[in-house]
Amino acid sequence: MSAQVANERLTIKGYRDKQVARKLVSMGILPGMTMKIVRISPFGRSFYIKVGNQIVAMRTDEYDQIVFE
Amino acid sequence: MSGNHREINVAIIGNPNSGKTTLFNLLTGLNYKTGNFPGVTVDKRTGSFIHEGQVFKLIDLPGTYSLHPNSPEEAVNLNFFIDTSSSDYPDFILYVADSTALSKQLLLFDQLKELGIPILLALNMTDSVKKLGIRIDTKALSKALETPIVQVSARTGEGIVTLRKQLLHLKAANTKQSTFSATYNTKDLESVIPIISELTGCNNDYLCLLAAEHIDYIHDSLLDITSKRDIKHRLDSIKFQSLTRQVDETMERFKRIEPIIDRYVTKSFNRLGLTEKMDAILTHRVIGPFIFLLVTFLIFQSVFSLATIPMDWINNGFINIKSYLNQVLPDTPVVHLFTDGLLSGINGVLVFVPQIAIMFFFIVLLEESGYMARVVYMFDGIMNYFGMNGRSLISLISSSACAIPAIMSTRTIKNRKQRLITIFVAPFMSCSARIPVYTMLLALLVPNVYIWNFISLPGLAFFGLYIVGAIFAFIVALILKFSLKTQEKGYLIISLPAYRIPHWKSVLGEVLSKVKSFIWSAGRIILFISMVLWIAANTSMPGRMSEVERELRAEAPSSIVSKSDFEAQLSSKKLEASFAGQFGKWIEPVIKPLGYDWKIGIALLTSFAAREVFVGTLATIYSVNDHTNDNLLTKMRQARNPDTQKPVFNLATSLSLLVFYILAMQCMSTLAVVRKETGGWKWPVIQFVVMTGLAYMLSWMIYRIFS
Repeated sequence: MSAQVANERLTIKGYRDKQVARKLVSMGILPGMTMKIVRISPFGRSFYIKVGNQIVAMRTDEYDQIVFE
Repeated sequence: MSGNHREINVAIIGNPNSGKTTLFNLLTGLNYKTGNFPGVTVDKRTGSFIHEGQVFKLIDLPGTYSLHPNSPEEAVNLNFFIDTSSSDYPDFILYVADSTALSKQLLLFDQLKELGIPILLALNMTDSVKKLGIRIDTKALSKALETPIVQVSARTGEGIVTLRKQLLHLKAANTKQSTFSATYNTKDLESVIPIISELTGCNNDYLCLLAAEHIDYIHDSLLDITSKRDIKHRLDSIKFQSLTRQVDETMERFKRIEPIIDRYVTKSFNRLGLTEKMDAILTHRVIGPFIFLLVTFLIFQSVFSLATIPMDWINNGFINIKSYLNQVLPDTPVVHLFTDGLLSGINGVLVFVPQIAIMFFFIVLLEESGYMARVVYMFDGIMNYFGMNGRSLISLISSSACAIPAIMSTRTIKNRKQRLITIFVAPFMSCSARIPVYTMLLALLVPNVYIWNFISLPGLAFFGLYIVGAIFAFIVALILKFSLKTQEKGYLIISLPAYRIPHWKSVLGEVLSKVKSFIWSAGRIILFISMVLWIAANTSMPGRMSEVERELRAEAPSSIVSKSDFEAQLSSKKLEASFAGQFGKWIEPVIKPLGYDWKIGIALLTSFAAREVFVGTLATIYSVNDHTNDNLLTKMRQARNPDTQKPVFNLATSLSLLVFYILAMQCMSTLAVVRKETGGWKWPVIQFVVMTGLAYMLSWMIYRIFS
């Protein structure tokens, strides 16, 4: 399910997992914002992501909890 | 202090990376106490300062993005504001925000404004703002947010005087800033909110709403379990959607804040541009980990080369003081208890300070520059496999210098289980105190030859010992990962902040605070145990010591034996007669299966003060009069078992001892720090039993295989 293609801009529509949702929302990562995977971590388990005007890191399975438009 | 005025409580709060703690340090100087918030191991720092005769008490709250908690640690803030009866309940809030990333930092601020507590907004990092060409219209912003604003730089100290003045004005004006806005309606909760309000004593609708949404995070002392169950039942009956509420509320707040920030804060260029360019290399899939290896290698080199100098000063200083005091003071047991026992104990505490200070200097540097967040990102995958966190890697690496700063540095690991695992396995990494023991034992085992003329065999074996320790750290971590129960699910959703150059003041402040906390909390236990060990090694059943001296004089007249030989033999005999010596003989049956005799038993006991003491104790017990390694090694090679007449330090025993020293929890200082960091004796005791048990088992196996 993980988007393996880097540099693709996607717009957040919602979240599947409640906990992930709460965490992202608290950090101001909200529905309607665009997200872009910049790169993958050395061990392949997490993403370096640009969202809005901030950079965040998250695991691939957490990324999978985000629903895109 | 001030008699006329009551103390004013100020809660200092903000997002992670807002520079909140640096500002707290700056405002209070080093005048603060560290404790824990109830139920969690989050540092609770309270400090005070006086401005124009008014005493302000500052409470440093954990950095979070929102009042909605995601973990017990984050719930500290919600519980803090609900508990109106607490003596720390704030009169004012000092909200700290990073001016360079303002729009994301004001969510929590907007929520706190609902509480009806006067807020002062401190826009931090004004020094960076100027450099980055960001312009903030503070007057207009202050009006739009209906909050007084002060611009500060916690790094340089700029604006601190104004901040203090403003806090006093906040008091004088006694502003009720309650701007309760109906960003949500509480109609469906009419049956629940009064109940929460009555039970907790919280009189704010918004806080009661938050309590309803996060009922499981509310502390049991505020709301007992039966009431929680009752409230949950009521919430279920009205089909309460707590997540939808949180998302709606947060979006509404951002919708209100962002236009204000866009209007009054102008940016001339993209602040993240440079950071992204740096990250292209520093977090690169292949190059990134190599750069990290290089960084840790450099840190290691510095710690080893820099720390030994002040450590030698401390040790030599104490030797000089002791010998001076022994000369001028009368030769009585009480004096020796002071000069040898107490001073050695203090020496034992202080000798750790250089390593802790230097190690923390680098850790704080990594943390404040923003690089640590990248380390977490890069190594989370592999560390998470072993139940740990990217930050654990830094702790484990530090532990190869000394477990103490390593364990203290786990405070930044927010997940409790990950933190506990890191604390538990850190002492398996071979620390610098094991070096003298390894060196001595390897000298008995491995010939000093070179392979292909450049690889030293003892050096290679040395490296192998470090690897064995590290392998055990990860094996035990894996076992703990599957055996420790936790409700928390570990997440890695972290913000990677823009890189910045740390300010020396804040780095030094953090280093000092760590050193201080080590000396006060762990130092006392270390001092106590080392006194007990000293007394055990220097006292005996009444009269035994002088008896031993008389016997020795009778069998070896001083005319034949040289004075120094006599002294060496005397101290050896005295150690044998002491309580520590008795202990060695008493545990001999226990350690015999490992191939150890009572002499090694004594050394095992005394080296609990510090592993390197093992060598010194063996030197005393084998009555080596000049404490050189060669001399000691000769004596050890000559040592025979009185029953079998075989060498004591044969291959099997020496290997078994090596394994024992890699794995056993042989350091009271580490145990003292673990007690402090985990808040009780439970974990240090488990750690001691597991590590020493494992050491015993494997040493026994090794001894059986090789003998």
